Amino acid sequence: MFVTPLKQIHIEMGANMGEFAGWEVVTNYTSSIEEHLAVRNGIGLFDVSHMGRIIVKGKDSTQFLDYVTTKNVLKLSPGKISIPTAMLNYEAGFVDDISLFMLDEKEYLIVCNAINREKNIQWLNCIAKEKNYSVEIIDITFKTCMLALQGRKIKDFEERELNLNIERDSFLKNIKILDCKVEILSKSGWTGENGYELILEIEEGKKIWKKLLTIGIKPCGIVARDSLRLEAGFLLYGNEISEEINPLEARYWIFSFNKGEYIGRKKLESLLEEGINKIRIGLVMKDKGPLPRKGNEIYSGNKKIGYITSGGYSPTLDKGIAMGYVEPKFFFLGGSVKIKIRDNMFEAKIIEPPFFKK
Amino acid sequence: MEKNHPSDRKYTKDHEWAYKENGLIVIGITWYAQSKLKDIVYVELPKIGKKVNKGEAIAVVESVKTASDVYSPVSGEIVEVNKELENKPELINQDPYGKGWIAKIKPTNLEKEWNELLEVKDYLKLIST
Repeated sequence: MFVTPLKQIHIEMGANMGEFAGWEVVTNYTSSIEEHLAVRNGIGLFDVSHMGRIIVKGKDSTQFLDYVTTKNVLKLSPGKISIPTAMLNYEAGFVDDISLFMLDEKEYLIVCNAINREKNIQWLNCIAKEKNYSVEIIDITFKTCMLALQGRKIKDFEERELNLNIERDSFLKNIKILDCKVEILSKSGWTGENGYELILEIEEGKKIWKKLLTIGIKPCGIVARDSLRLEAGFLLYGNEISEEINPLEARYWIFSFNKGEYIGRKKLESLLEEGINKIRIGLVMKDKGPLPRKGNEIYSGNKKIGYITSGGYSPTLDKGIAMGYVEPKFFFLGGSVKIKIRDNMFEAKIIEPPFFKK
Repeated sequence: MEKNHPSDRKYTKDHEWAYKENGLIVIGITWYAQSKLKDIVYVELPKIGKKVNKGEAIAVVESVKTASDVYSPVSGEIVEVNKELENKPELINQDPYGKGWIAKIKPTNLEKEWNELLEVKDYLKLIST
């Protein structure tokens, strides 16, 4: 198992550790509900060092990335991020959804899901070789750490500690925050709140983690990160998206046709004419009760129409919420379906995420 | 750890406790179990009158993280359940041996089964390894 480089600090500060995507990460510092609400109402700090960080550089890097990803890379300029974008397979299934940072002319950074890091590197190398692109692919995951600072009160932090201005989907390189050297600071995140993501050298990461906590920011774990992204309606690889699910089914609009040929494009174009066999929906339980979980079946009347891909407790709504897939002809937005949880049926309403009001 | 696990009751390797009270067996989950689950948000209680075997799943405790079965420490009949948990599942986190009790069972084979349960020292040994 891989281990977050900040593990020692987390343990010293009383965090609980657990496994996620082959990494030992913080599950929670205190209560995951408290941590969740700290982000919704204040500011929380996450160690997301498990996220994959891959440099792609070289003579053909722009053309290569334009060919393996779904948005127009030629439109990027240094300091801009394409977020989210994706790499698809030839059948238009997701290899991964990623953020693509343009660091410099002919130099990019891919931030990807932890679970897919090794697969992605293999995929990139394989395509580069097959199509004769001259690029260099370097995994910098283990040389750096990554933090996410997220929350409704992020403006307070901006005013107090950051004397700079970053647009959403942009980033800055080599800056100082709280006297720590931050290699990349981007205005981005995965909680449904505004915030920043920081990539730093490991020692600087340890320093800034401690400093951020001394100014009253709440440390949070992966359990809260998951409930936050679920409330925001964000898709998790391995749950809502996979090699077998395409962007149309996921209603994940991360692709463009205003660009050249890319892997998966042909299939996407033919799917637009063929239609799809399943579609992603959001579900909120009618009553406070048992929680829908991944794998539960969805019913309309007595007919099974789909399954849950992510489910759990929403601290904001104080009941169960979920995402899942149903046959498109049963996508009764605003209507009711039933979810089978441990042999009993519970009513849920099909809604469009996010599950909370901003 | 020791202060969190009273010696007036017995334990199971699946992290339930059993306490003798007026001929009935009160059951719940241990301090250790609730500390691992954290943030309990729902408890599925057994039906009153249900006949259960020792080791049978009789309740489900759901935390933000996961759903876990609760196994009966003894055989018998469910005669009372803690209705308060329906609205306040967090009582299990706050007071696992008191207000967070789950059910009361009228035992049918207690003489044999009580001896099969773990003493606190053995339970502490189990969770420290």
